[in-house]
Amino acid sequence: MVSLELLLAALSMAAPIMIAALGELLLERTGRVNLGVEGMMAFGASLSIMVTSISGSPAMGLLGGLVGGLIIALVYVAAALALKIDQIVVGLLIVFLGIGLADLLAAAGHTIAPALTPWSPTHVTVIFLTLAAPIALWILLYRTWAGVEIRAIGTDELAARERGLRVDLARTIAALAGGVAAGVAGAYMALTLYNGKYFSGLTAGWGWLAIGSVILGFWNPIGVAIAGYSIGLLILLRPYTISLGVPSYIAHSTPYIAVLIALIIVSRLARSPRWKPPKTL
Amino acid sequence: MLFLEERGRVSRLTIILGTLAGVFAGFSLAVLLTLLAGVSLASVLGSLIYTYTSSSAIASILALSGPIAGSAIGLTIAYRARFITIASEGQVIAGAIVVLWLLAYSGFKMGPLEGFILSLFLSGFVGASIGFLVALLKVKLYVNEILSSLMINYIILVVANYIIGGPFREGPFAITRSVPHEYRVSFTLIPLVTGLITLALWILMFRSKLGLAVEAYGRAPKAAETYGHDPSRIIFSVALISGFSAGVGGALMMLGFQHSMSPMSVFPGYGYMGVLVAWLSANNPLAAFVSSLFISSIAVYGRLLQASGVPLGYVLGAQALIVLSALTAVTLVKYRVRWL
Amino acid sequence: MQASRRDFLKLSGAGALGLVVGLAGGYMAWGARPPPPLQVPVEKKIKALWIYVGPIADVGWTAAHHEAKESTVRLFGGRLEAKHVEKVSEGEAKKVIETELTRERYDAVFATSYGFKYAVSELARDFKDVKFYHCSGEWEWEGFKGLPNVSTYFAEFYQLYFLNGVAAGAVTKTCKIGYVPAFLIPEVVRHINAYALGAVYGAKITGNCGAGEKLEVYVKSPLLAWFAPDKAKADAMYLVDKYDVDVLAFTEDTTAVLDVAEEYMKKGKRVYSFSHYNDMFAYYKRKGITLESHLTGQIANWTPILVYLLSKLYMGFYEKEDVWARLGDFTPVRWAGKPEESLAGKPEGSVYLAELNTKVIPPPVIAEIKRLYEEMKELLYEPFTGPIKGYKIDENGRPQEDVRVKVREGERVGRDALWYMDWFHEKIISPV
Repeated sequence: MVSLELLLAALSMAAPIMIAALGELLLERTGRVNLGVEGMMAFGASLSIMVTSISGSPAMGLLGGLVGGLIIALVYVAAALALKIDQIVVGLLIVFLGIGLADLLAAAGHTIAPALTPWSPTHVTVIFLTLAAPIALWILLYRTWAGVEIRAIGTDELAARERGLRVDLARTIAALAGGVAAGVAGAYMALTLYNGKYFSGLTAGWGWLAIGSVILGFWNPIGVAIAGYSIGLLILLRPYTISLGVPSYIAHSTPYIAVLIALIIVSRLARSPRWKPPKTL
Repeated sequence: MLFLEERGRVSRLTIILGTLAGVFAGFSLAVLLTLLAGVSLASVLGSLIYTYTSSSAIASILALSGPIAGSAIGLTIAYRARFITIASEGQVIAGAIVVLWLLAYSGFKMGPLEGFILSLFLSGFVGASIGFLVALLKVKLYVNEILSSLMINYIILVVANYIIGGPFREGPFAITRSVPHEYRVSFTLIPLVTGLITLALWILMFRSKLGLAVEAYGRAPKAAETYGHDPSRIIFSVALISGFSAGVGGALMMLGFQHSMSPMSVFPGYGYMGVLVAWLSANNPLAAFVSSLFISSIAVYGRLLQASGVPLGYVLGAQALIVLSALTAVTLVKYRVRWL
Repeated sequence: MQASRRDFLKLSGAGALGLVVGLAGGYMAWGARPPPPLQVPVEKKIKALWIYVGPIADVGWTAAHHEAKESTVRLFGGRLEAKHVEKVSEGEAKKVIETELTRERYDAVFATSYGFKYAVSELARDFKDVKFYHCSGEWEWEGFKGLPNVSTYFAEFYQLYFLNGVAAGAVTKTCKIGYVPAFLIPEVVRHINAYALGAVYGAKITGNCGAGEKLEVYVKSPLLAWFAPDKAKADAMYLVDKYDVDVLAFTEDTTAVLDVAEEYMKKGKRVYSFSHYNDMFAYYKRKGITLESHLTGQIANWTPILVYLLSKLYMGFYEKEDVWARLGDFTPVRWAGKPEESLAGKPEGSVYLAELNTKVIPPPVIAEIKRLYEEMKELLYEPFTGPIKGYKIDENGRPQEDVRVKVREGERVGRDALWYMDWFHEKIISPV
């Protein structure tokens, strides 16, 4: 039943969750959280379809998604980081704002574009980057000075400020990187998973699953990548639960139920003194 | 580097005026966006005027405000206790479905008044149960309530669609029975119910021990704990209250305008609008009551523009823009922005 | 309904009324391409409102309604003013329509989802001079009784699903075909049964799969949503990976399942699928992609129905009626033609088969599909003719009884039994 093909298909399915989760992870390591992943993904998806439709190139579309995510992340930077409005509030507002703007953009008429064919060179590149990103992030966080600074900021903001670390700069860069990642993730969903189409509600809660992955992966890049991949695998395996006699309504809720259960386990673990997550959620 | 400097004492009136200015700016921006989306100026202005002057649109505003206010007013107390649940969306849906069951499927014989009162309590109870679940996950299992409530919303959506297309299906297509006419309520009754909830919440918040405890806990959880306020009791209380209120919102939605259900491909969004309203009104129940009407009017305006090609997602986007703009304005009123 | 349509043709035959003649003339020429717009001076205008449940961009249900609306407006050449509102949820429908009707004067409202039925039933009482057309055709429903201004219409697919099944039964190599349903409501159940019956027929005539003996039809548990491309995609992949299904039919409002089939095809695994409501083969062709996995499919063209209903309204001949369009309806010639001249696989009437994949479906099977297609126009061949064995199911598709005779030898299933079908054909394995 479990074949290499299935595992690869799961990777292609999980890629957007993994990408978005890794972006969010970086921000959370600086001690800030942006709950607006879903909105940044939606706007990235919409802009990517528009760009692809006009340019004819899905690779350009991915770039469009990147810019889309970046634009919405700027709202977070301005409101939550600069003006210090409650980051939770700003994050949730960004969800609605991003989806609203995405739908409005789509209303201009570009909702269909050439798809990013699975296992085409561009797609393979994205998948490769998705696999390389957690390793790169791990090196950044644990093997560079910048990483030490980021972790210091995330663990104790005041101490970091006293030591003269550029807290706001680090957070701004991390938030923008998170936006870029979410935008690319949204673009990937529209271009690959939905064969080059944008429609309202496209992100289907996957941005939230990405945020869940950050916690499940316990704020560790490798862990987050594994968590994101597992959720993708679960989505792909969802139909299999039916043959175990599970009613359809539970089967269709599996990713959400799984995240809930995983949250319970991780939250318990987080209480034990051996673990120290950054102070975000 | 940019930083904020407090302006010293700012009066409440200034903050309210600042909020209003922000709302106005956000509203203008939202209207501008529809123009950019290619809707004609005539159509935009026509819809705006129609929204606030025609009796039909005003009836819609009042009707839609039911679930929005029901969610928002209850959330004000939850958010004061820093219990950031967004389960209101699921609570509205669940409340609506249980009311539909009571009035169209249960077979109980009731008069309109009994039916109405029973609906409110049953839906409130269902909403409170969901709130209880979220609180239980937080207090006993330490699960973050934002994520858990969201996951629960998605699960409720799937289950609701199953009930609609399965056990509740009426006739050959996936649609339920509809609420019998004698139980439906007029739009004029809706602000009355939400007004009562507002009053109850206001008393609870400013005239009860619980309100005091919530206030203390929300400001400084650690300190409140040392002064003998049991945090888990506070969290359970606000979860039950906000859940009850959002559930009642679901009943108002079903009795006021929804009447029947078909499968939902995306969330109806009233519970989420309630979340926006709670923030817009700085967690004050009275302000939430008024803001619900305003946020509801944006929904009606957006829907009018649907005929001109404006997508439905615009509604929540525009509302979020307005709230964001209002919060920005309040920050600018309270603080001076300086570059260092 | 049959009678009233004949009356309509009689009227047009009389040639007394310019517009009707013009439109009916358009009818006669209706084949692969629609007739040109009328060149008669405009004397009066009517105004109609369309309410869509989904987005126009769905390439499925709503797209089909929208295209028909647009082409009807074109055909009426300035006589019909039309407006539409998309993505209207069932709960909001009443307010949306009511607001539009109080703002502007409309002659007709087309409510294109079964979920709008309560809204239509209630508004028809308040707006007596507006004609409401409800798409889904639940003519028997109590809520429409006694309302002279409510008509119903629907394009029925069970015959086309049978023909899809014939193609599927002939081409399957694994002897396993699949179906991804949105909900297991009677409409979908009827279509799945027709598909299974057709597959047995197709296998029988080709001797494939032990002449149909070894054929299995795997029905996935319902998606619980009309619009769920992510779930539909995962379910389709599951049917292929776990059960080795090589033909996939579906009820979901996007191209998701067809896309899955095409992906397998590109990877060198033979999997076929169909068009649903809209010609998805043509849609991809316009985008410069020629699908290999597309067998044929069921397509609805609502335009002839709209033209028929609206010209009657325009001329003042409105009457309360139900249009339940099947093969042969709204075609210039309504009786069975010669199979070799059949338009099966080409646009014709209001329901028709999408392009037949002649590279994959063997020529004798194509010929048989064409013969059946023609015979179905006169109901000479009815898919639901006994003996048929099956079993009752619940809303999850779970069997509720052992296999038993559902349609007796020689018996034909009438509209009511089709309309409220709650059992699965014996070859169906469900739910998986």
